[in-house]
Amino acid sequence: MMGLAWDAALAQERIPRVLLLYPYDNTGAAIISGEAARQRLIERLNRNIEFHTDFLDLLRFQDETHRQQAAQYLARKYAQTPIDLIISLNTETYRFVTAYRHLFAPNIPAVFCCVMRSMLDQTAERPTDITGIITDYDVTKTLELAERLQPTARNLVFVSGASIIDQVWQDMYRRQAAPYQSRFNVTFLSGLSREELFDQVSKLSPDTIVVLGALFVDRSGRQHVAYELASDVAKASNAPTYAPIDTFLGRGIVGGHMGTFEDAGIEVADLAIEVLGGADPRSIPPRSSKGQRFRVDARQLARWGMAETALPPDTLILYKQPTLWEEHRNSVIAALAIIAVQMALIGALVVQIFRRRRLEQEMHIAQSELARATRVTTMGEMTASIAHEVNQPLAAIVASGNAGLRWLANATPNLEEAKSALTRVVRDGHRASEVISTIRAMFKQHAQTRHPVDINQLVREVLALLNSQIANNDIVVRTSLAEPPPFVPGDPVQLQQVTLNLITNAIEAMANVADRDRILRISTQAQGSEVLLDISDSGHGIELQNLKRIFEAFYTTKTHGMGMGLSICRSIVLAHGGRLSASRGSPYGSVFHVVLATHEQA
Amino acid sequence: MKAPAGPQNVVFVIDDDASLRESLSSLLRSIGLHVELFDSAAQFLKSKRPDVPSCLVLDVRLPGLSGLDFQAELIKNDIRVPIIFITGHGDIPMSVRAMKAGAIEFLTKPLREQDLLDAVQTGLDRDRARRESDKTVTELRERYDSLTAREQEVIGYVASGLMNKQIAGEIGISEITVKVHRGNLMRKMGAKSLAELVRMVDVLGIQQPKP
Repeated sequence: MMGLAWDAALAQERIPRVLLLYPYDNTGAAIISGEAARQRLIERLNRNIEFHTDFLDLLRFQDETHRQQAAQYLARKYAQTPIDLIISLNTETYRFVTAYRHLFAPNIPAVFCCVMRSMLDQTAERPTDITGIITDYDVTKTLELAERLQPTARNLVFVSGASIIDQVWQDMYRRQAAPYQSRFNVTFLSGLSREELFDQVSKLSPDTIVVLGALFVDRSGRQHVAYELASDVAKASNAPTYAPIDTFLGRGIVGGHMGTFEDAGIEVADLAIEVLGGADPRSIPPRSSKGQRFRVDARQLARWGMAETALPPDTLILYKQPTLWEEHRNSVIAALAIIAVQMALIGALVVQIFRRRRLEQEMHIAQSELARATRVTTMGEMTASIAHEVNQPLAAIVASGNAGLRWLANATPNLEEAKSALTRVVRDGHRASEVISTIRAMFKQHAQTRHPVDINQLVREVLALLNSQIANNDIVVRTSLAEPPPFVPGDPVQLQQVTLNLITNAIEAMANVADRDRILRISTQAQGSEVLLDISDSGHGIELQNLKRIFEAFYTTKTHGMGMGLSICRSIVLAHGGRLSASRGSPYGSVFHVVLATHEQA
Repeated sequence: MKAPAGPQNVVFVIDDDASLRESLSSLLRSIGLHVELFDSAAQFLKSKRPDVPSCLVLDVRLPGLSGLDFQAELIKNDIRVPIIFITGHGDIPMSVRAMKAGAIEFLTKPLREQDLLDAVQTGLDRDRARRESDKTVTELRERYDSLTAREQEVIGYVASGLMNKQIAGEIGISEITVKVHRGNLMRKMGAKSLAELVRMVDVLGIQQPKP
């Protein structure tokens, strides 16, 4: 008989067939065990297994006739398709298999799971070739848990349904409740309608321990999915509910001592493989499911204000409300990451802003450098250029003169060389003279290119150009510009040079002012046929005796400077038919007055 | 008697002002110097310059490239001609910079005749000296290169004042052999005495082994 199942399969060169027998329909705990077993078998046998499934519907049809017919049906069904092993799920299926297997699968080994120990014990004629996994549905231990959590409880209520199966549970509870009769007022709520049941449990005093059993059918005969009804009862109950049933946990009961239907399914699958592999079921006694332990629902502990410390050691606490961190860890991490990224972006932006600000500052500096350079190039460069242009022929004249003298002084005077040297002297003398007239002509020519120049605009442009210099020197600018803007005919570049020069002088004049505000006042004013541009500073001012001299060429009060600026300014203004003068400011500083004609002088 | 192949020296004048160029040329020629004129730095660089003692009279203010930058350019290209700067309007920082970079003189226009002639003479003398020194070093280098590897080894020890016996010990050959090497290298280097050889080694900048 050893290896019967395999032998049968091997003899026909096919993979073994397993019949999964479910007690009811496609609801209920057996589905969980059956599916776990199926998965386990597929996994362990590498898919070399074939499944047949039948739902016996033993709850809706509780009479023996149905069972007989079901057995006959199975017998016909599998007449041509021999089964190698039956996996019987749940207590009711076990009862069916033990009673009718001879009709549909004689001598075919069977394994079971989720069979109540009490039922197994009650089955007098237990076939020896059937083994399996027992579920203890341990009421004693479940009550031990309840008593720990409710040490002051005085009432004990057992709830079960109205079906035959529910009755089995009630019987089991009655037996197990016996020892508690002395300590508790024990009540059995069974065979009630759903509504009656809700009503009853809602009126329970809180010092009650409620133990739920199978709840498939209520008094009205209405069928329920056991755990769904249990869930509603648990929610309606005014006292904590307990059950040794896995599927009830998480649906409103506090907890109990239980295994899981899934574990049971896996265990029966392992057992099935043993039997398929040739192990004799007779040599394997039925065993309890291994995963049975105290399990509680943390949410219910909270609901009833129960302390975790009261739980028996090794209690598995499920549905523990995750802490904010646990529950939202990913969100928190994501949020932190986003914040970090934002910070980085903000940082980058701040750096960029700083950088841009620095660049802007540098640009201002560059601009003022440029303005200064322009002024220096025009004024300084012009003077240097004039000096060079004049100096060059002078240098040539001196060198030629020296050369001529030397040629003549030689032991044998070289008259040819001396002659050409003297010729160059004359030529370079004329050249020097030409340079002077060219410069005169240049000024005249410049003055002849005339456009209408907006003096207000001119002032604003120059101030913009000197913006950073003004800011860096802490200078306050006060402008009072005429409306409508006064126009004068002139060379815009030259007039800008004059304004730039005068304003720069004013800024420089205030460089050493520390005991008062540095104020730069600029005003434009139309007066008859003239436009007045006044530029005043709050510097130390010009000594009276120097007021006239400042416009002379090469006169300077500055350590750096050629003394050409104001001289050229005056030349330009004069060339525009205007006047440039200076006066002492009141109470301090100096004022430069530019007067320009609004009409071309005849 | 020298063959009339070319001038014994030459003064280069670079100035963009033709008139001043000619005047300077005339003045320098009047005291018997050979003069070559250029109107730009580029023209000077392109020209084939005679390999004789020379100096350069250079206007600081040149079109395109400033005289100071040109000076730097010459140094970079190892054209080691003494420079006399002339300027219409020189300031102190500019002249300091030029002098630091090796200029002979920094003269302001109009030039004082004597200053220019003195500076030119100084420049030519300096260039002549430099050329002679360069020639000596080149000759010495050639002589040194004619030594065998062993002689080049020995020369360092000799110059550092070691006795033949010590040198023999240092490089593991016999004293007699050292003596032979020593005689040969003295002859090849053209050194009449140890003192002269030491000077030569010094000029060549040969690392002397530490005894």
